Amino acid sequence: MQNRRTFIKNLGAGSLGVFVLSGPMQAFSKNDLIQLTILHTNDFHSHIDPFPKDAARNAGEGGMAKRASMIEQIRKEQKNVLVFDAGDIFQGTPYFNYFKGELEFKLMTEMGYDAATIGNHDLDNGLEGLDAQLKNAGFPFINSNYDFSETILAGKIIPYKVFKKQGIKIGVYGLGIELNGLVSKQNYGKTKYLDPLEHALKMEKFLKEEKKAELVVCLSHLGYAYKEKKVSDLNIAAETYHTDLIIGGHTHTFLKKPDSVTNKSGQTVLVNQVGFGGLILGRIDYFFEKEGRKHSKTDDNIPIK
Amino acid sequence: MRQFRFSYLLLLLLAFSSCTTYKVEKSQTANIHLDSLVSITPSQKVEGMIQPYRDKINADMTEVLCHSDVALYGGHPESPLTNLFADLTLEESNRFCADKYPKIKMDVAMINRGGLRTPLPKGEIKTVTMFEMMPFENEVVFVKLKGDVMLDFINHMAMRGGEGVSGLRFGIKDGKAIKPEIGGKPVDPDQTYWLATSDYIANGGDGSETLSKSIERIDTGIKARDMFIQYFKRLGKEGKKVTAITDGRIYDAK
Repeated sequence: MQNRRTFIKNLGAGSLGVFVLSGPMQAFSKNDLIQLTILHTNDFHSHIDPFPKDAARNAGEGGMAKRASMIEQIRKEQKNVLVFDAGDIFQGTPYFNYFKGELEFKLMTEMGYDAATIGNHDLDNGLEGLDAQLKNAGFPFINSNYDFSETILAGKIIPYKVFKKQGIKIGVYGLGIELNGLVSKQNYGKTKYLDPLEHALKMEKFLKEEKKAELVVCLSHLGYAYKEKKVSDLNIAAETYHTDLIIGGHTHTFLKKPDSVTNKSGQTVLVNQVGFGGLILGRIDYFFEKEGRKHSKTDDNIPIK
Repeated sequence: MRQFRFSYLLLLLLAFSSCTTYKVEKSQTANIHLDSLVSITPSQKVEGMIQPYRDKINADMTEVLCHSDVALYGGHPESPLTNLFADLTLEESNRFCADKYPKIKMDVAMINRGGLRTPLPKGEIKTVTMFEMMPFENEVVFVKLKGDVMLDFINHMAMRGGEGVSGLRFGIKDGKAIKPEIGGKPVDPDQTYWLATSDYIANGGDGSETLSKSIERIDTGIKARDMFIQYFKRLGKEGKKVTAITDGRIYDAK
């Protein structure tokens, strides 16, 4: 019962009643907490329709129309929602072969995605292929470690963005994977891959100190973890100082809940990834005190069945 | 009713997950990570946006390109399936050259056995058949090789027990190529030859690293699958059926 008592003490006996009677949101608003809900996907690979009924795995699961209504539902309940994607939107079903990513971007725009980062497969039709579809994306692509300055994408991919929700500033940067050996040279052209950790450190410091972000989020397509020596989300989490959350992709890792990693300043960083194919919607809720300090967080990865 | 159930569950979810904040009932969060109790009504608006695209794909996918009286299977040292796809690659590549690169002509085409994922079925050949046979996004590449590099490559194919080739003939003895001929003439180490193949092979796939020593390379930007579709479509339009031959282009030499 010790735990239970701690819980009650922390929450405050008064608000517990409210909590029980009318749910957590009301309880927290009475406590002047601001709730921020972050929803995310990664590697959905053109899975616009649910997996086929005769699929060996995940038959009938996923699908963007279901994802859309799930996000819509959460928006009805939550005031502050951000929706992100961690890359590899392209490639995997004939929708991509036929329409080259047009529908993926249009539907993400309809769902109100706030930002995405670039995965290796998003370059499957080359830099030109991505560039041609950007007009259909009503959200920015964020990447901080690809130098596109000598390419057709120069100035079209942003290194960071600061979102404001009820006065809270959320700084977002993005990390992409080494392209050489993964993407054909013809497809990435004169894009320069720069060291992810170095740029993560630079971006998080900038977002925290210059932009005064209260929450720093990294959209990463580096991959969750590797056996071999290769930079991953877990490395970035452990080696940075101000990043609060890493939304990952590439390794198609199904995490039941986000991993907690202790960073260089002794703080906990959450690392999350929700498999592939648009089967699960990642969800993390942060609760902020009125002065904007981050208070606490909860999380849930929601299957889209 | 479903909507209601969904929102209620979310609330429930939220209620439990809120507890994780205080590190007390955290285990319950994991427990609730349900075998999805949540069932959702797909968004009608998004469905409506998808439908025209879906219709277009379905119509295209089920389009009958042509017919085949027999099912064609792959194998080695040669097979009806690999011969057919190598032959059509040579034919289509040369049509493309005639139009875009009139100064060059492909001498040889090679399609690796592993790139064709299924047999060609008997009966209707549809677009979807081509997607099943060739799920990869490989592109057709032309490489110009000196005869000695071509011989290396032929030996490599012999070592692998044969591949899909066109314009080329050779025997295999003890894993090595004998009497290799291009266009009916012995391969001359000092002459140059054009090879049409996939970017996968031209980039060294399946151990074909020797192709990196090409004198010239043209990336056509044409997907191999699109080339196949184009060929079978024309066959259908001309009222022809799929024919495939085994003619001893690759043979086991005793």
